[in-house]
Amino acid sequence: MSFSARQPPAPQPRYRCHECREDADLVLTHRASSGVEALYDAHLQACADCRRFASRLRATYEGPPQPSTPDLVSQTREFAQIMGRVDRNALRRPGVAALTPLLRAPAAAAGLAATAMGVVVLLLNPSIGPSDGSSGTGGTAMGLAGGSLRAPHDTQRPMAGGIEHHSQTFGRVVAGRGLLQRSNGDTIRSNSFAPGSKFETTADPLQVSLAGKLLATFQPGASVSWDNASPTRIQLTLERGLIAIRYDREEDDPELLVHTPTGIVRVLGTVFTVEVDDHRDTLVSVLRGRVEVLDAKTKRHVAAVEAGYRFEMATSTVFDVSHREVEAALALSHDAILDEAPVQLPFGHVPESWVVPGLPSNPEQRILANVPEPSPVDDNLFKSTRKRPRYARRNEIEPDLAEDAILRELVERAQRSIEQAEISRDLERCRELYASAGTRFLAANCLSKFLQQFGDNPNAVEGRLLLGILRMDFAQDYQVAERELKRFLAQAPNHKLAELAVYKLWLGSTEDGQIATAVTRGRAYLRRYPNGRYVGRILRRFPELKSEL
Amino acid sequence: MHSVVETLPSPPEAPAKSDPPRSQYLSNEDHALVARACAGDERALRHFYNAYQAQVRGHLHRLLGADPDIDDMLQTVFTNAFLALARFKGQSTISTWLYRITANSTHNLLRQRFRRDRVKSALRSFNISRQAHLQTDRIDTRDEVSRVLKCLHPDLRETFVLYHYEGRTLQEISQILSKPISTVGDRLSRARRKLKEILASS
Repeated sequence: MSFSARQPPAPQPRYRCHECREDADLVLTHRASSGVEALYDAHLQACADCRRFASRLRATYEGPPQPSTPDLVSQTREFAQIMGRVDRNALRRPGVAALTPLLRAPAAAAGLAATAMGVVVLLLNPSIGPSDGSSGTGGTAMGLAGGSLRAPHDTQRPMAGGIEHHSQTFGRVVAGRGLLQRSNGDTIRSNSFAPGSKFETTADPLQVSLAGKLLATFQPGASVSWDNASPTRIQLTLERGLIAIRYDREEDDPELLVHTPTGIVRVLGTVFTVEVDDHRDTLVSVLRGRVEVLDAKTKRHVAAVEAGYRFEMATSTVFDVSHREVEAALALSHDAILDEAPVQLPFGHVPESWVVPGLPSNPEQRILANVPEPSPVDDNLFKSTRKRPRYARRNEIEPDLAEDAILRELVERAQRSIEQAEISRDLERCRELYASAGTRFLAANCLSKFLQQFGDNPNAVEGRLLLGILRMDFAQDYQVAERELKRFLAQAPNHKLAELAVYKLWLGSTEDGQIATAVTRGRAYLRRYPNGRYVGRILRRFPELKSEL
Repeated sequence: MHSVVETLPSPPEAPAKSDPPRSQYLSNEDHALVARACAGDERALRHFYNAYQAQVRGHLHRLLGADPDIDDMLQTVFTNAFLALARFKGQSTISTWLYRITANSTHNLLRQRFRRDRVKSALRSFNISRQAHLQTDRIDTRDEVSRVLKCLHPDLRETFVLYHYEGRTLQEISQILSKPISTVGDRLSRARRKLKEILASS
């Protein structure tokens, strides 16, 4: 009788729910041995609770789903908000090193250039010394005798923001020519105008100052209307053509809206161009700061355009800014934010704060000729398709012919003086620059040299008048303008151009929002020149002064 | 006689900006990008933002869950990064550096959220367990992930997210959180253990 020897089965390890859950993360992260994995899988086959547990644990280890990436427009807006925060933080934290070279470099460059120029000038002409008791090396990058132009006790008055008085809502022609009309169609013959005016340019550009706050250049072929100027909003409507605007917005200043047939460009302070092409499509280019583009009908946000980009609204595409836009805006090249030298004037270089792709960062090379031209420009693009009336040219306004003639004469006189001294040979070019409205702002360069050489000469006192006017027109720096005009009047109170200086003093305080001062100066002008040529302009802004006559 | 302008010497060259030191962690493109961004080139900053916004956004989403403050936090992270770019020494990759900024930026918010959510999640767990008999077998595990993660202590959550979701090594997490590797390893183990407890208890 035989008995089959039955071997007892190998003892199975106890692998229940507790062990399964202990090993779950090891298995999921592939750190468990193959034996443990087999036991784990076998237990899961039999236990629904552990299956559920394992499923949830696996989901937890896989993580939540990837969030959706916002579209390009949202990203652009988000980046703009980040840059806004960066700007605010950089300003709040003076020790922040990042992103501030742009703010510091021009000042450093200006300081270096001024020092170099001051040293050279003193070496060449030791007779030119400091005046007004200030340092002779305190000049500016333009070579102006800054020490003689800035009194030691001068303090910078904070720029007045906002529009507080009706008199501030006017605009004036700075340079160029164009057709100006009131809202009722009447032609405007003065160089001063109110909201509701329409502008059309034909062959020449037109440069205007609006509400003393912003400087705009309307390129040839542009049709623009100035709709509104209120404490909260300045509104322009661009029907066609290309306009460039510089708006160095202060706190409390109104926002700027540029309406086009298809969009609205909302600006808080920047340098930019807007154009409406032949297809009535809107193109927005930004050189400094950023603007927001809204849909004209729905008023909804379409895009935020950053500096260095051109946004084409019809196709929602973004390109680099090109030669054309930079050229249009170059007459606005004064950089108020970065300009720490109060008598410095624009000299035709692209400011360092402008973002122009492909343009070298070396200030000497930041000229229009070096701006890349991505595509050929169709010269006929902005020519008006409408047939123009034959008499249109006759009605075009020029920036006050009499005043223009005076300023032109001043430039020529400066030229003669400098020629006599055999100092400069570039003045002929300077005169040509002044003759053209498109390049008039460049004439400031030769005037700077003139003042540097003859600033203390009694015969050159007109230079101060001219500098004050140009400073007010192209830099909208009313404080320096006021200082120069006052010095002119102090040195030559009975000069034949004193009336112009008194008027410009009044105009500067009005546009700067110093209303009480403006009223006092307006009153002083009316008493001194009751039959003066600027009486009408003063009374138009301050009708309450009629009683002075 | 020559004009004054003619005889002027050319302006002195501006001193070269100090580029970030060469680093084994940064490619040439990264070097150039950081240098241009440091110089205030807005296009470089935009490029930087484009390159890393998805990483930061995803990380914030995994860290905070579906939180309405994510967009605001993303702006905070990039603002801090842009302001700190000049101090970036290239001792890690840009993404690791950004993780570190994200960790620093979200530190307080994570703790605030954790304190606030602890009460809410306890109440929710209580309700779920009371209604367990009404539940079907189908469990939307995806929705549960965020809820479960929110129950983790912020320190543990940061470590878990960086290791398992972002794929960072312990060494990198140690750099990001400025903690020793042993601490990071310990936190990771505790996070895994805690997660199992949470899942088992719910």
